[in-house]
Amino acid sequence: MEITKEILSNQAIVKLTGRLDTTNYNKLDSELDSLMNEGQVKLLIDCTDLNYISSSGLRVFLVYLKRVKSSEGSLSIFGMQPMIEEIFRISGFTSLFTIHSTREEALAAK
Amino acid sequence: MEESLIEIKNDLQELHRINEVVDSLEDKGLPTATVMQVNLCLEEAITNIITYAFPGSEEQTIRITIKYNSKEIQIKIEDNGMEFNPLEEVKAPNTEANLDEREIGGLGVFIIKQLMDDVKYNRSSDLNTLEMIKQL
Repeated sequence: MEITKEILSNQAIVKLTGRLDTTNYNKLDSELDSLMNEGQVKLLIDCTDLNYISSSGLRVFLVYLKRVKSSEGSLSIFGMQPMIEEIFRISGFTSLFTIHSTREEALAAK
Repeated sequence: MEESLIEIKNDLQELHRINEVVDSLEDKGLPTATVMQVNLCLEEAITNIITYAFPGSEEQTIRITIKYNSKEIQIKIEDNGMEFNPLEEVKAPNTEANLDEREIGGLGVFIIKQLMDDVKYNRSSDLNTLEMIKQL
């Protein structure tokens, strides 16, 4: 899985490409940890090119949602493919996370 | 029914070999969404087996049999590890909980139960057997 990040004036966009699974979830954990240690608390996760997620990846999302909220920040997601959104839905995550369809919509949101 | 048999070591890196076999079923007519769901359920089940049935560092074998036809796909996972029934020993998450109450664990087995139509565990002699069936 490839992770790229984009630092904007008041938020950070983290783009995931490929699979997020039990063999690489700690890469995402490290990336989000280092962003938060740099003071980023408004995180946008670009899932446009994420084509697989398992419970390990879902766990990282949940851990960081809790963590940003306790720092009065936010973590939202955009561009999820239908199969990924389905996994979020059955895990009960669609009610916990702010999910946008597009990057434009995500950036326009408060 | 068509059948594929894969034997892997108790090493998470081996999951890639399973993915290759499951991905190839798409060429044989298995829908893309089903391929992803089968890969996901195998990952969740095998991760638990490696973590809980084989807590030591010895190399062990896990055997996966995939049988399918146009109506259903059957997945059987066998290992000689410690007795471990994932269907009973892993507490289900509360998917209705709000963020503060939502606990971190338990999703792997929960996902298997949601995606598969039938899931069964059996222990006999020294063998753990987990069977998952999905109707197509």
